[in-house]
Amino acid sequence: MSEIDCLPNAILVAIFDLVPPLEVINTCCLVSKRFLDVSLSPDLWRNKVNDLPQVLTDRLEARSQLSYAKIWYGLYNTNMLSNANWGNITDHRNWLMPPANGWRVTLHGGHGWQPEYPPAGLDPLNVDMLPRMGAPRTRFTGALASSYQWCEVMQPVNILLELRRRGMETEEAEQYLDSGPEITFAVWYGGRFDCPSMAEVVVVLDDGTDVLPPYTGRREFPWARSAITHWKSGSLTTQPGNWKLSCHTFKGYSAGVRRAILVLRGKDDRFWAGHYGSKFSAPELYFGKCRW
Amino acid sequence: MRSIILRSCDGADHVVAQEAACLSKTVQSLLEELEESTLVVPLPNVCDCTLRKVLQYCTQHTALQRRVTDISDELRTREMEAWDKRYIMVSTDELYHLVMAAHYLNVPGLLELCCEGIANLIRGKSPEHVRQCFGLVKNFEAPEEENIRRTNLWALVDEKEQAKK
Repeated sequence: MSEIDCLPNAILVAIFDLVPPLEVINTCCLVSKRFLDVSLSPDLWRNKVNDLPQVLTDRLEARSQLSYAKIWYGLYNTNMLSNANWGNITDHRNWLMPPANGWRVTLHGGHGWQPEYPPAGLDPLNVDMLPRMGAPRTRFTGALASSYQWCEVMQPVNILLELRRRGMETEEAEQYLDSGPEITFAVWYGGRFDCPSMAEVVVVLDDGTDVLPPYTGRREFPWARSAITHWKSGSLTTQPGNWKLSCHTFKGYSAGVRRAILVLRGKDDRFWAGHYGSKFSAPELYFGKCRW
Repeated sequence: MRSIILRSCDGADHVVAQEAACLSKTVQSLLEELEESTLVVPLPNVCDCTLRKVLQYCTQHTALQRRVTDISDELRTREMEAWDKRYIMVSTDELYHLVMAAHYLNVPGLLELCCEGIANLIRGKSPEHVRQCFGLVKNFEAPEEENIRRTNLWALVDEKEQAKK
């Protein structure tokens, strides 16, 4: 028996509390049975997860499939957006079909959107992206480039569904959302080194009942009327050859939020043919504070 | 300033200022329980060399705390942190004894410091390394380990990613 096994549980919990949480899940779990017990114990994780609904905390102890650790991971360390690396969204007529690839192209000005792997005229964004729940962690290197007229892409996210994917019951998820937990949307935008460009980000939180209108071809944003709360970045100017972060955290909003709608918009400033407009990379939507 | 005597399990006596000894909540409550006149506090769970190390911490911290007037707050915290860092550079074996003693004597600052020390040993290592570091034996069967991996699938980092670290 090793000496570390002699330490009482309370001390082991205090020690694990000082190790980065992801390392606890990935490393400490696999060391020994004792470590496994402690590293997934509620004592360690309870105060890392804020404002969970009462119904959930009451039931949590009895559930084998769901633990505080899993909730912590699901809420704060996974991306609620699908297709964060812009696969297969070149066809602008996609708006006619349900967005199987996550994104709907709502404006296709100039030569339209162009996914680039790696991005042209700009170094790839070198950050660790949050994975989707249940997917392995991978590093994405692509970007979505806009053209010489306004291009717009949007993604509606059913937050209720995402919470259920993370193991909550509908009732628990609704209570959690109604308590107004912090939700953060972050996206990186950048411009080619040789062409100035503009970008705009809009995030809307609504009750999810409104049917989203199809391709409008106009620049106005028609979904804001159903919004419970929303945020507009305003016109952003990209820095040539560099990535910048656009990030917003919603908190203390009123009850009833069930859906998030993200809108990204971009174009270049020189009216050049091709895809010289602003580029987007690593869009993320998750609970908790901005992690950058 | 009153001095008291702390007696370790192997019978060695240590004379310390009461102020320093009272950083330990256990000693403090023991002193309150015992009569006024007693000056010897027996500590049956702590051995001589660990107690010496703990008292080193206590005296240093009270001494620094008392120097309120001649240095600024920021400077004092920095000095204390630097001292703590040097203090915790001990062998793994000593670290366990220290953490057990800090837990028994209930010295919050020291306990935190020791936990930080042990956490540093875990950080950034693979499970195999951690086992080696603490002299633990792998008590999982292969299917059992596979099972944990599968149930924790929601969070497990790719093997390749981990190898890169």
